[in-house]
Amino acid sequence: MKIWYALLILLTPFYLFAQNNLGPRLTAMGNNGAAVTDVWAIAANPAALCGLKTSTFSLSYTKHLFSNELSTQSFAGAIPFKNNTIGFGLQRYGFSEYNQNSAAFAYAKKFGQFIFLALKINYHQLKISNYGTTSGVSVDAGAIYQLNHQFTIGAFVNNPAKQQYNTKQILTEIPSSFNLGLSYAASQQLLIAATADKTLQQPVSISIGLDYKMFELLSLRGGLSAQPFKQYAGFGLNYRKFWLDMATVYHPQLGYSPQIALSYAL
Amino acid sequence: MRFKYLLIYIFIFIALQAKAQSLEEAQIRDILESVAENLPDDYDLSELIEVLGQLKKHPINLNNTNPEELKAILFLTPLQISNFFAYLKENERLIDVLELQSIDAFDTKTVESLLPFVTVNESSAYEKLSFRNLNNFGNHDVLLRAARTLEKQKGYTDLPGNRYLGTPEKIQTRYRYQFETILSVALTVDKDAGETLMGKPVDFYSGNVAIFKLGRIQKLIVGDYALQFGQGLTLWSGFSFGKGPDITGVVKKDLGLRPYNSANEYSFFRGLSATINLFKNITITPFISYRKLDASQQLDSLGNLVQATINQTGLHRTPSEIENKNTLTQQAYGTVIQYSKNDFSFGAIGYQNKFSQPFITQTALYDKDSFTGKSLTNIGLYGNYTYRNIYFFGEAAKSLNSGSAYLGGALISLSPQVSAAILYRNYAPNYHNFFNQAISEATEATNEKGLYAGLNITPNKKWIFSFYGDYFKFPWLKYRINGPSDGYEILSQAVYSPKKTLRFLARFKTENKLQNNDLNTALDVLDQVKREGYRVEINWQLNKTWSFENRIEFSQFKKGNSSSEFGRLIYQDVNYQPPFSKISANMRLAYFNTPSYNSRIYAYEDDVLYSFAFGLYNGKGFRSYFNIKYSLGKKLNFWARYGLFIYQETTTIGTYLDEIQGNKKSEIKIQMRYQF
Repeated sequence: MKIWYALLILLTPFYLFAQNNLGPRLTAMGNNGAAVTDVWAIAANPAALCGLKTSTFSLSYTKHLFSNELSTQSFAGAIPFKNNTIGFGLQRYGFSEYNQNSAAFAYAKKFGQFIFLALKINYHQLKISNYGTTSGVSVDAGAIYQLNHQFTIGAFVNNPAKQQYNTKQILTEIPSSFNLGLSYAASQQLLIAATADKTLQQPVSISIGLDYKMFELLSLRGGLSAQPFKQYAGFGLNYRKFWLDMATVYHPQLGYSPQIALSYAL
Repeated sequence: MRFKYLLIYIFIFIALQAKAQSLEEAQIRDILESVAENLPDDYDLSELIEVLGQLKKHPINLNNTNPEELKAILFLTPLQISNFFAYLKENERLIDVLELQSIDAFDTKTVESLLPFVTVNESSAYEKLSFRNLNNFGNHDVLLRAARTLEKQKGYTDLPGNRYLGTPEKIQTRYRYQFETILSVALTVDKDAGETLMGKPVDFYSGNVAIFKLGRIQKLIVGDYALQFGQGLTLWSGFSFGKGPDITGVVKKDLGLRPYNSANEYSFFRGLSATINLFKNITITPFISYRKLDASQQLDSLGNLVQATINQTGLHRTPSEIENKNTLTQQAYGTVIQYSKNDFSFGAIGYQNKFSQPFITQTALYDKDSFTGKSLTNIGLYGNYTYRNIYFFGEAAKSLNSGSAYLGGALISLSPQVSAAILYRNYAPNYHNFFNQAISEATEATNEKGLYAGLNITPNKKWIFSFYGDYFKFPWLKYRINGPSDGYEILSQAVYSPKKTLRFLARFKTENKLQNNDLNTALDVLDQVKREGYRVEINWQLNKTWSFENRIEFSQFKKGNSSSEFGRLIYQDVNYQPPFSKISANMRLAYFNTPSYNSRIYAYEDDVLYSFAFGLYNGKGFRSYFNIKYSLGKKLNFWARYGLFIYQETTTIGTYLDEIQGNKKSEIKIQMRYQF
């Protein structure tokens, strides 16, 4: 059976799965977060980390239901101090014979009240048993501009220098993408966000989603994306400093990918 | 001084009315264009605005009303209605209509639009009821309409065999009588183009007498009536809304029993029905109907007459159509029980259809699950419940001895600026129902599963954004889809109105489905079919007399690996409506170019009052129409319409019996309305 998973992963364009995991909150909002403050902004737009008021850590696990063995595990953390925030992230995707790992470190800084900028360095590693290991480094940059207390614009470029793995023998690439996002805080309870994402050699993907804090305890989320068409839903439970978030993606061909995360904000 | 105030008041009133009308009209336009693909040509949608016309004359008394009455106002959402009754329960009664603004989910725009249709003044119409008053205070309304295509169509020539036996005129006459809100009488007579009146006075007639609010009897109708309950899955006759830019439209507002006032010849009941208040909060609506339908019948192996389908067009033009007329009798009877209390309402439906001859299985494989037999029993449960700012709704239905269907969803007012709708549906391929109008992607609400999610955002008074996405699956085969399939649809729209006299609209819609490929392979392979539409529209008012609308629309069609084809439409509308003038007019000049029928474009067209038209722009050429209205006093109005298509690069228009030699197709229409 394992050969099938390997084939599936190798033959299907990998961006379908190995996309940066954005954590269950941003995933449930349609996998869009170029202009949303969240600890997982480390993967969506590190400049948005500046919106965090306290140090936050989150651990997430994603299951890809078309296979029993395939999963994504990730960790995100952010520590704000004065006008700066540092963020770090770890991600592991794959199964025993095939692994894609990455580690990221980000530095974000507030310039005045409305402008946040960030730089991020990623270390990628690809491990295929019996074939060996290869690695690569890439650099990302992000910016946030707060128009007013309701509207925020965000831009994030992923690997603009098109850096790749050291080995030329593999086809897998470190993707380069450009993201432009807008978020709208319609009320204290409601956040709506949209992102346009252009990954090189792919059509522009647009996604939209919302996060609705029904009670202090419970938030409901949902989203949609076009090209590829996917539906997203999720919820978050908040108890004091702890958050338990769940999300699922529905892809017409690949089915559901549920995700769970536990977060702690100091 | 007094006179001055009076004038100001009149101006405000006119402005409000005009606004309400435009909101209403814009909404109807949107809805019409979005359902155009699934409606037959010439579908009579007059019932949509007729109700509002009546309400303007006899406003709803907000202190003595029920949800059903308010549901008739198109632009009110179920959540607003529910909030209104919650408010009424708390405050007992409204002192002023403007109090509505303090109710959750009622924005200023809605309240302004609502003003012409509601009041808070008490007056029991029955106190005034007397024979003399029936004559003095009742309203009579007579409408005559005639239309025809000027060019000769092939069906009217001396063909051997199938041809149109009648004349090309389409004639419709309607009469309405209304006494306050308690009594109405209606009669509609109709002859379609090509129908002959030889040996009979009319081709189609429909009428009813209805009484309202008579003690425990809330409604009583003798004659033709419509029944609309729940979300339309079990029992809904006549027109119903589908997916559109207004996302709240996916939630159906059921009006229960209502007089049938349309010229459509298929989906209604004929007989007797009443809605009776049994106990507090419980109403019962029993009904019985007996009518004849058109069907093409054949003999089965035992020599009995059978049919596979019902002909729903109501056209009786050719010898075979005339032969099929009224061949099948349909008897329907049943009951609806409904319990409603404040923010909760729940109903149960049970009814049976009996046909004079049995249905047989249709030949196509995709129709293998279609209804067979002589009798069909349908049952269903529906309900809705409002919790805080969430309106839940749902319906479950079953056709006895065959499949079931259900749907459920919620309408959520997330904040004063944002509302969201979500709806899940699951209709079995063998769910049978002759009065099923539930929301669906396909024309009929069977053999479909889907999840719909939509969002309306109005960040301020100038902007409105709408989005929806719908993912659907057809578990069994469909026409031209020889395999289980799925697809999705996405719409996004932005409307910007910087001032009252200026409005911009941009819309993008994409739809992806599967369809048999065009190669004649032994095994059908399904191809991706993508249809996209891009629209930009500007409405602007030069002054009180002149207003304009411009639209550019592109359509894209792509099937499988073949290259995309692009269609385009551009038009200019001019509207002339001087205040206090007897004459008003409007016209359109359009250029269209679509490579094939696949990239056709639909656009709403202005027409004479109570007549709705959506233009189908297909091929290459020009389109123009001109409408004029002339008022002779308050009571007597005249309308005339001339429409013209000039196609390029073609020598014939239309197909089969509708074929016209040449490249021009023109239509005239005249209408008269007399109210007394």
